[in-house]
Formats: sequence, C-alpha cells, structure tokens
Amino acid sequence: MFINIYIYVCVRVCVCVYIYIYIYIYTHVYNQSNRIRTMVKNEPEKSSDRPDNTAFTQQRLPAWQPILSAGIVIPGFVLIGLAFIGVGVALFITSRDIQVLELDYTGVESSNPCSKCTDPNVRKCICTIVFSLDTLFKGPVFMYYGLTNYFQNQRRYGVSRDDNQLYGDLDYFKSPGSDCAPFDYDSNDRPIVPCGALANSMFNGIYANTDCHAGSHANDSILLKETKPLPSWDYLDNQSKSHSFISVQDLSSGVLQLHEVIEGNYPVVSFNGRKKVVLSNVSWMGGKNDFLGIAYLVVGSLCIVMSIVMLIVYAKFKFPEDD
Amino acid sequence: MMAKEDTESGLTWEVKANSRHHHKHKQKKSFLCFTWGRYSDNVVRSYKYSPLTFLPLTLYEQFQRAANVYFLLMVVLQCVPAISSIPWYITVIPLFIVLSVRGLKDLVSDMARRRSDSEINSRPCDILISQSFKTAQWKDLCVGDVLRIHKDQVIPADLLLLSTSEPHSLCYVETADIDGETNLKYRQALKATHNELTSHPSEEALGAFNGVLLCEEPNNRLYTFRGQLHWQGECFFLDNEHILLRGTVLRNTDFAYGLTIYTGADTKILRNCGKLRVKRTQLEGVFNYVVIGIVLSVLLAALLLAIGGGVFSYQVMSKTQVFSALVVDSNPGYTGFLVYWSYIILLSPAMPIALYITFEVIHTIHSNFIGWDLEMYWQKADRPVEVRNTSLSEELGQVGYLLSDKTGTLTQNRLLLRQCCIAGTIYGDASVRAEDVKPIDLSWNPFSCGGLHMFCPTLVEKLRGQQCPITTQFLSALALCHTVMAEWKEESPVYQAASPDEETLVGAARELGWVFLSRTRDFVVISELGVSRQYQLLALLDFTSKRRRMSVLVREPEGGIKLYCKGADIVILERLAKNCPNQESTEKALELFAEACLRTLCVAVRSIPEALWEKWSKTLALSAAMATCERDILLEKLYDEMERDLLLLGVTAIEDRLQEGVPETIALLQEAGIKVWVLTGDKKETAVNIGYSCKLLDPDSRLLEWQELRQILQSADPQVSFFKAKQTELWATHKEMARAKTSVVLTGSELAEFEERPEWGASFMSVAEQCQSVLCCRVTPAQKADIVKLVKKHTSSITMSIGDGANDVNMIKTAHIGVGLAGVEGGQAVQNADFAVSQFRFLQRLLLIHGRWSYRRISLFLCYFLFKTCGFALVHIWFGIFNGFSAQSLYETWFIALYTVFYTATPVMCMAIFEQDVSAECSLKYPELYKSGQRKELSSPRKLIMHLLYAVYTSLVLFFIPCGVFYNTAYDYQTMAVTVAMAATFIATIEIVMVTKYWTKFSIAAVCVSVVLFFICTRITHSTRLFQSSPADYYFLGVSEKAFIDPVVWLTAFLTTWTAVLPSVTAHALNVILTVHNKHKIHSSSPPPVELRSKFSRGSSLRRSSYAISQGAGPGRLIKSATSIRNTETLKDEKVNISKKPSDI
Repeated sequence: MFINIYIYVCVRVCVCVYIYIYIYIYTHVYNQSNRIRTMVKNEPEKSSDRPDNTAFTQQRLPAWQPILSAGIVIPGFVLIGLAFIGVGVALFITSRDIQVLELDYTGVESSNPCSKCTDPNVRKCICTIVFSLDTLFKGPVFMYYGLTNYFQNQRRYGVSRDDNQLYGDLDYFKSPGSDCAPFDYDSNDRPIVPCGALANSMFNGIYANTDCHAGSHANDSILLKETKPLPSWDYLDNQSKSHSFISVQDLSSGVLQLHEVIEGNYPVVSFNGRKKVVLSNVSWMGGKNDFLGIAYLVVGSLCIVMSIVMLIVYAKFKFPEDD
Repeated sequence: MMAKEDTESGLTWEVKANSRHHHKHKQKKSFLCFTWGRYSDNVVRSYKYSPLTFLPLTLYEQFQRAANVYFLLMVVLQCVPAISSIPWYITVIPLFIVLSVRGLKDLVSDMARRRSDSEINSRPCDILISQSFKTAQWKDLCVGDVLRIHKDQVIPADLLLLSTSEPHSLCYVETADIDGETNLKYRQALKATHNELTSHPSEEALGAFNGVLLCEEPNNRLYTFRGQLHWQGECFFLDNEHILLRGTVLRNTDFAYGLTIYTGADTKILRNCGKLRVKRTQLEGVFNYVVIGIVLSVLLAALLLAIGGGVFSYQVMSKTQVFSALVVDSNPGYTGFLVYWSYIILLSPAMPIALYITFEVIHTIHSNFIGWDLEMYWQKADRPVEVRNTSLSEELGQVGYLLSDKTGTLTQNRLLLRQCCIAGTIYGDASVRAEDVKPIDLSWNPFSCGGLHMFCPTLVEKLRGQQCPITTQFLSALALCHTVMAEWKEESPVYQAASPDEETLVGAARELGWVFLSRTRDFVVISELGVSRQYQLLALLDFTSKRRRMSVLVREPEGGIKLYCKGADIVILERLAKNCPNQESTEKALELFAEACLRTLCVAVRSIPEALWEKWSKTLALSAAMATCERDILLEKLYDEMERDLLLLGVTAIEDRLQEGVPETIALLQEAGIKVWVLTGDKKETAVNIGYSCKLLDPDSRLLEWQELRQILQSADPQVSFFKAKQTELWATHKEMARAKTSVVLTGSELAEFEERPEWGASFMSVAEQCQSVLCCRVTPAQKADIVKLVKKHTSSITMSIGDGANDVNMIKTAHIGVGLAGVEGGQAVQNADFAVSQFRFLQRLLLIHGRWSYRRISLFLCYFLFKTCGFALVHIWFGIFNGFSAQSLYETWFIALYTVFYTATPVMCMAIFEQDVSAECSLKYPELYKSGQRKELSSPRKLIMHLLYAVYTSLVLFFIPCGVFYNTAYDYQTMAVTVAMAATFIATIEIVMVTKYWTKFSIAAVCVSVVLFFICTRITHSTRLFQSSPADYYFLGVSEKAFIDPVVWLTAFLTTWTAVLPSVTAHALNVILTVHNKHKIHSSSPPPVELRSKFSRGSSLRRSSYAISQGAGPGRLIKSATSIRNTETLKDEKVNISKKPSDI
C-alpha cells in the first residue's frame, strides 16, 4: 500500500515540478551562463538580462494551423455518418441472426413446472422444463444462467470480500479482513473462508444430470460441471451475477430437446427476481445485442441530418454574400 | 499646562531633538500580534513571512481558498473506513502538492521582497551622534535624530529643516517621487534655527540643539503640516514649507540639516501608499463561483442519492437475505447518512483541484513569455518586461479602461523649443523629428551648450546682424521675462526653474546668444551677443492660472522702461495695441503650431513712459498696505492697466516631448476599444495639450468641462441630456460635427464634489462611456485611486493603471492591473506594480498580443478543464441508479487518479501554453480582435455554464450508451468500467483536438502520448504482477487484457465518444461555416484604407496656448519681493530675496 502511495507521489511530483524546474533553468541558469559567456568575451555591452531569441521564448514555434472550411466539414460529416450507418447495419444484421431462447424457471406462475419449488420450506425440489426449438440453433450454442433484479453492483456487497484471502494468503484465512463483516466469522466464531457477502451468496441451484458444486474454493466463481449432452463448462466471473454464461463448444444439430432438472432452493421471489436459463449462439460480436446496431444507425443518421442542416445554413449564409 | 493645550489643538506628536535614548525606548515593537510603543522605526517591511510564521501563515492563506478546504475535508472523510468510496491517497497527494508548490512560490517572492527591503533599509545617511556626523544606515534612524543630507541624496524620513548650506537656509527639493513634478520646490528653515545653528561650527550647534517639536499625529496629507517648535523659551509655528518629506531628493544645495519627525511607517509617503491588496483576476472570481456552484450541486446530488440509498436499503435490501445483513446497524437511515458522505467523496473529482495548480503553472509560463519578449526589451536600460504578479496575465486581454499618468509616462518631461514666429516669420520646422534636426553653427556663442532643436540659420543671421529690432527684442523678452534662477557651474549658468517651459525658453535664448546670467533682487544681468547688460527689475507681474500671463517691467541700461509680457495667446491678443503689425500672420502661425501639437506662448512688449510708471508705482506701493483680499483685486486691476497696448513680438512653440510611440499606441488601444484616461497632478492646460499631441483628443473633439458636465449630471437623465447637449451645440456649429467625439476634462477640486454626491458616480460613468476620453488634472495620489475605484465600481470592465512615480502607487495598487513604468529614477511605482515595462508603447504588445493570447488560452483552458473533470465524475450519479445508490465507483480507482494527471493533462497544458488563434502581427494589425476579451466572450458565466451542461450531457452519454450495450448481456461490470474509461479518455482527447488551433510538435506529441499512456497504464495496473504485490489495490486483474481485444468494447467506446462529442463538433462545424468569411479576411487581407479626415478648423479652439507652472502659486514672490513683501513685516522672516551673485561677472 505505502509503496503505491510512494510511486504515486513521485509521479505526480515529477510532473508538476518538472515544469517549474524547466522555467527556473530557463530564466536563471541559462541567463547565468549567458552572463559567464559575456564575461569571457569581454563584452559588457552585451547585456545579461536580454531575453533569448529562441522560437520557444518568442512564441514562434513552427506550427501547423489547419484552417477548416465548409468544404471539409460538411463532407466529413457525411462520411462519418455513412461509416456509422454501415457499421450499424452490419451490427444489426449480425445481431438479428443470433438465436436466443430464454427459459424462466422461477415458478411464479402456477403453470410453470417449477412453481412447486417456490416454497422456501421445501428443501429439495426437482422440476423439469421441456422446451423445443422451432429453428435450428447454429453452433456453438451457449447456455447462460440468468438472475434478474439482483443488485450485485451494490457497493457494500461488492466490497464485502477479502482480496488477500482470495489470493491465498494464509494469515487472512485465520482472521478475515473487516470488509467481510458480517460474513467474517460464523455463529461459532470460526473464520469464514472465503469470507464476505459475495462468496456467501453464491447461486446454488443444481441442474439435473449434472454434478453441481456451489463454489467453496479460493476463487469465488461458480463451477458447474457437465454431463451429457453438454460437453464442457467454463469458468464464470464473480461480479456479474445477473448473467453468467456457460459455453458450449460443440452442438448437435437438428431439433434439440433438453430436459432440464433444476433444484430450486435459491430463493428469488422475496426480491421479485427471476431465474432463467438462456440458450444462445454467438457471432463475432458475442451474444445478441440489438442496442449497439440501432444506436449506430441512429447516430449515423443524425450525422447525415446534421450535414444537410449545415449545407442549408451554408447556402443561406453564402449566397446573400455573393449577391 | 502646555501639554494640555497641545492636546486640545491636536498637536500630540512630541519629538525631542538629540535625545536618541528617549525615543529609542518608545519605539514600536511587536511580538506575534501584539504591538506596543509609539514611534515606528525607519525600517521598511514589505515582506510577509518570518521563518517562524511562514508555515502557519501560508497554510492560513491557502485554506482561505474554498477548494483547498474542500479537499482537506475530503481527505478527512476518506480516512473514515465506513464511507471511504475511494482510497484517501487519491486526494491527499494532489492537495499536498498544491499546497507546497503554492507555498514555495510565495516564499520565493517573499525573499525577493526581503531583498529589495534590505536594499532600501541599508542606504547610507549621516546621523549626528555626540557632536559629530556618523554614516549610518536608514534603518538605524530614529525620531529626534539630527541628519545631514547631501546634495542629490534621497531624504530618508520626514524632517524638519533646521538649516542649510545656502543663504537664508533655503534649499531645493525635487518631489518627482511624490507628485510627479520634476521641477524644484523651495523649502526654507525657520529664521531662528537658521541664525542660531549656522553661526557656530554646525556640529556643535546642532549637537546642542534641544528644541521640542509638537505636531500632528502621522497622517497621509502630503501638502499640509501643523506643528510648533519650542526652543529657547519661544514657540515657532511650523507649516509644510519647513518640512522635507521622505522620498524627495535634495537638489542644488550642498548640505541640509534636519530633525527627524516621522520615521518609517509614520512618514507621509508611506501613509499614502494604501494597503497591500491581493489581486485576483475576475476570471478567477467567476471560476470560484462556478466551483461553489459545483460543490453545491455535488452536495445536492449526494443528498438525493443518499435519500435514494436510504430508501433502497429500506425497500429492497431488507428483502434480500444477504443484503439485509449489509444494512449498517440494520438502520436504513444511518446507511443513507453514510452513503451521503461516500457520494461526496466519490463525486469530489468533479471539483477540479488539479486545476488550481495547473492554473498557476500556466500563469507562470505566460508571465515568462511576457518577460522573454524581445520586442518588449529595452536595450538602453537593459530591461526586459518584469512581471511582478504572475497571476494576472489573462486580465491583460480584457482591459477596458487604461488610466495613465502623464508626466514620465506619456511624456518624457523634456520640453524643446521647436519653432518660433517672430514678426510674422516662422523659424524652424516641427515636421522634422527633434533628433533629426540639423544642428546650426553656434560656435560663435561661448555659452552655447547644445540642445537647440530648431533649424533657423536665417534667424541667427538676423540676430547677429542686429538688423531687425523686433527679433532682438523678442530674444530680450525671452531672456528677461521669467522667474528662472541661474546657478554657476563650471563657468556656465545652469538654470533652475519652477516651470519647465520657462527653463526651455531661457535655454533657447542662451543658445541664440541672449544669455541670462544672473539675477539679484533688483537687477537682471544678461549677455546679448557677448555684451553684458544689466537691466533694473522694476516690477514682476506674476503668473496666476487666472491671468495666464506674466510680465516684467525693466529699466534698460539706456534708461527707457519696457514691459515684456508673455502668456497664452487669447490673453495677449486681446491686449494688443490697435493696428499691431504682423497680427494676422502671427495668428496663422498659431494655427500652424497648434496643428503640429506644439504649446504656444505669445511674447509682447510695451514701452512705458516714465510718467506712467511713476504714477503706477505709487498706486502699487499704496496697495501693499491693504488687506489681502482687497489688495489682490487692486493688484489685478493694476496689472491689467499696465499690460495694455502691447506690441506683438512673436510666438514660441514648445514641444512637450512624448515618449516614443505614444500617439500610435494610444490610437491602437482606442481602436481596440480601450478607453484611455489621463490622470495627472499637472495643470489643465498642460494636460489638455498633451492630450492633443498624443492623439488622445482629436483636433476637432469637443471638451466637456465641469460647468457643462455638472448640468448634465444634475439633470434627471444624464444620458439623454448628454446627447441633447452634444447635438444642439454641434448642430449649431457644423453639421458634419454631429458625430464628433467628446472628451471630459476635470480637475481635482471638481472631483472632490463627487465625494459629496455619490449618486453622480454612476451618471458620470455613463456619460464618460460615451466620451472619447477623460482628462483629470490637478489630482492628488489619493484622488487618482478614487477615480480608479469609481471606474471599478460602476463598470464591470477591467481597469489598468500605468504610472512611473510614487504618486501613482496608490492608483497602481487600486486598479485591477497596475503597470509601473521603469523610468530613470524612482522604483516606487515599479515596486508596487504588477508589471514593470520600460516604455509606454510596450503596452501594445503587452495587451494586444500577450494579453489577448493569455486570455484566450486561459479561458479555453478553464472551460475545457471544467468539462473534462465534471463529465468524467458525474457518471457516478447515473451509475447510482443501477447499484442501489451505494456510492459504487464506476471506474477503477487508479483510473480516477491517473485520468487528470496522465491521460488528459498534457494536451491541455500544451494548448494553454502554445495556442495562438492569430499571429502576433495580426493581433496588432486588427486591434478590434481585442474586443472579444473585453466582452468576456470566452469566459462569461454563461459560457462556463454551457460547458457544465455539456459535461452533464457527456456524463449521461458516457454512462447510458455502454450501459445500454452491456445491459442484459454476458459482459461484466469491470469490462464496462474499462469501456467507459476508454470512452472518457477519447472524449477528452477529441475535445482538446478541436480546441487546439495551433499545432506545435509538443501539442501533437502530447495528444499521442496521452492516449498511448492510457492503454499502457491500464494494462499495467491490471497486470498479474501488481495484483500479486497488493491484491486489494489492483483488483482489476486481467480485465483490460480481454477488453482491449473485444470488438464490442471498441465499438461501444467509439459510439459513446462520437455521440458525446457530436454537439461540440457540430457547434465547431457551424462556427467554421459561419465565420469562414471573417477568418478569411483576417488571414489574408490588405490593410484598411487610411481614414480621410477633413481638416477643418474651428478657429481659435484649435490653438493650445498655455503656460506651465508648478503646484502652488508662482515663485515670483520669492524672486521679486518689491511688489508685496517690502511692507509686510510679519512675513519678512520667511520670504527672502535671492541674492546670489555669479562669481565671475
């Protein structure tokens, strides 16, 4: 910690003081050397206070002064607008081709097969969701886990962890940092490893036919292990709880019927949350993202409109002048 | 008993001569804030700090800045773990650097002040200690000491003159440092002290002097003094005539002995200096308001967010098992309270603390640029421009009013006879510059010592041939009709005059062979072409500003009586005899001289019959016995009787040499929309004359004098009546004059009326704003400052004062910007000025180039700085909606710290140092460009608020576009943080690219390096190695590694950047389209056509004939006491005839 402060101080001091030193050298030392030079030359009439005739001191540094004109500005706007529209179209088409299937298994609606699992008193609950795909999902298909209305960005929640402990420092295993409170010691006053709200609120649902572990090791990520028909699972990130993803490296083609068996003991109803499983394939830009393409199209069109407005203004401004 | 009386009369200041011990004991001493003792010591202390007080004082001063206090508070808050949303060292270091750099700067300037103080304090002076004079330093001087002042020595304290080496204990002092007048003043010791103290060997007599002086408490009235000297059982009354003031210089007197009355801070000149004011620029003031506005908005936003946080923890968090455990003390209210402070910390980067330090660095560099300018370097004195206050450079670009001193600032105070007209013939040519005048051969004249700037070989021929009696009479008049005194130095006379005009005329006559040799009370000796002639001085009809003429009555060696008269043209012309020859041609000459801006005097003669003289002299003798006021009226009448039926001899035309380039500079500054006012202690005539010759007044402009102005001010609506007055008057004379310019001429006594009627101030300013300029004559230093205050109070313009003497110090200090002219002597003005220049014409470059650039650079810099810090910090408000108002930072803490220092600082620094919209040459060629600074176009509060609103817009874009992209996708918070950081850096860079118009290699490098630094530093802070060394500080492990190769991150960053800068780009583009024609004009165009001004005259109003005399009445009474003093016994003691005889006649 103090090393960082030290580095930071050094850097900042350097930047700020550098300019002062520069000026000082320029005004004093340089003048003094002039003085010495003149003394050697025995030219008392060549004065020491005479400013130096350099491009810098006389503010005559060679410089490039671009002079913009309507002839550059308006076509520039048109070009940028066209470029944005082009990118927007590409993004939009790409995003449109990505196929997504969302399966809500919260069980709020009574029609949902998982509604029986909403009762918090039910310790073990298995529900099955049957879904079918109208169109073929091109591979690779990823499976995401979705949880909505969960404020994982809350600062107290986010900082409630001990980085040193997670890094593996054994000292912190015995005495977790104060950031973890109240998830630092359990009711028997034993240290919690990993400590903090983050690690102790892991999603702990289990998919059927899967051998599922809620993470309790050093890295506070979820590890889900696959069995058939999904070949392999990936690591996930810790902070973004709302969307975790599970990548599928390979995909069988044809109509896919997936029987999902989920153990629903992660209560979300209390905060109006939803639990979802999302199946999606990806493109070069990742998952489905309509916003980006549309935003590009809107901004691009705006540029074109602007350039037209400018053209009108320019014409109105210029022609009376020519008359 | 006596003491009681004195207390009642207000004479409470007691000085015992030669009792050093007594006064030393009572000297003022101070410890911390306690002072005791009565008499100040003679030490000047303009420094602020001592080693002990430096730290507390500088901290106290710096924490008067709201921003510093705010940041100190932030540091304290950040040390509280419960609310610390970013680590404490992010804030404490900038604060520490700001404080220390500022402190160091103050320390350095304080050292400089100390040095200059010690230079003054260690000047030598001779103090009488135990009957012998010992050389000591000024600082050793003590009240009651007797001093010996040498010739040309500066007087170290206010003294009572005891005696001098001259007869009658007369002495001469130069008061240039006090009132700006360079002519000599007379001071005379009491007769009693003169008699007693010069009779013995002076040391002994002075050592035995044991008088007690009672006088007023120290005050700032320069021209009055009241006191009594109790000595040898008698009481002598003292007034200003007996006092030598500190700062004046003893001239033409070998020695003067004085008793110290006031020392150091008690002296009149130091009392007159006004308080040291810390000057801050208006822009800084506006900026401070904006900062306060930002703080208030931040507090408000934090409050709203905190309420949101409280509601969130009550409504949402309690419903979720994990979160409910995180509500502090299970109390949503308390959680909200903590969130409030966390948000204040998190939003504190919106307050640009780095701005203050950068601001100071930029100011320093701008000041250095000013000092480095070779074209403002004065070779002769080896002086570049000295910037004494480095924090005012941008105000140089906004000056609306220039208030200038006259003597020594506009003029060189060197008068030259350039032309004359004798008997209708004009000699000399004023169109040739004085330096280029061909010298004429004057080797025949042994008294000639050069300095005639008039080419007139025909005149010399005529004179030597003595062909023309009028010509010889003209020169006799010049040599006889004056109050000049001659002092003999190395076989030639040196003239001492109360009026510089007379000195010039007598000097010119000497060059031409009519040499004034000496004067006694009754005789004037002149040498006419080598022949010495003695004229008997019968009467001297003295100059007053009402009479505007003076005459001498002399009896020629041959016996005839002649009256020689010289004076203003109007006065003389109306007194001419009927059918006076050459009148018409002389009047034409007067017009010609006036056009050449020369000051004219008419010279006339009259032969007086013996009978008339006898009758007249009897009446005169009678009048001397009368009461003062009656006598004055009678004298006036008598003089008038004598000065009649004059025969016009000719006209002299004197040039009051202006400083180099003054008319051009004033014309240029007026074109730039700067109002130039002249404030002078000199007479109205001189001031108006100078006004004409330095192009401050046009030949056809109308002078609005007090009577008229008063009527206008008294009317209900001054504005309307001013226009009415202007129109009626002008329509009556000439239709073409309807648009003529008007100038106001005021004198000090008239200005005093403003004090009684403060409501006139506003109306006066509204009238003055319509006028071309304002001339204030006969004003005291305090009044000069009052005028500056008046302007400051009633307009929002920046005022600039320029002056060279100690009498200008007060106004220099009062104005927004004070400029000291580093003249030949007198460092007082420079010591107190913000800028010290060597030439008036350097103001052109100082204002129009450096000022304009500086203003532009700093305004752009401020706007940009506000934009970039706010835009970047306000994102957290919007992010609050998505994190339960919990003060979660959207950025990595390192980005917050480095953003201001590394990623965005250097390009804006380069812009603020190098930016030039037009070149230096163009700035001078198109002075109207300067007006944008006066209108505050770039720094108006509106402009700053626009930039703040733009920053809010940017922050919205910065948050919501990445949020829209990443919402409901697989991207996490950390990727979003990097994306937003990237977009923020891009936006800041593009914005500065658009602002910069002048791309030096440094600017280009700075922009490139900043962007590259962002990528490098981000990769470094996200690296594994740093994470291993300190996991808690570098928790963004590997984020940028993935993000920087993700196309969506890049596309999002580009989209965000472009959307954010779109309004600004559009505005710039529209600006380009709309102003393309103007710009084109400036970049390539021919100089504007020369203005053709009709040269019509308005008769005698064009002529400027005047006669200059120093403050107070004319010195005639001292020279020629015959008229008034002979019969007045009481005054005899003080008014003494001068009877100095030249040694070799």
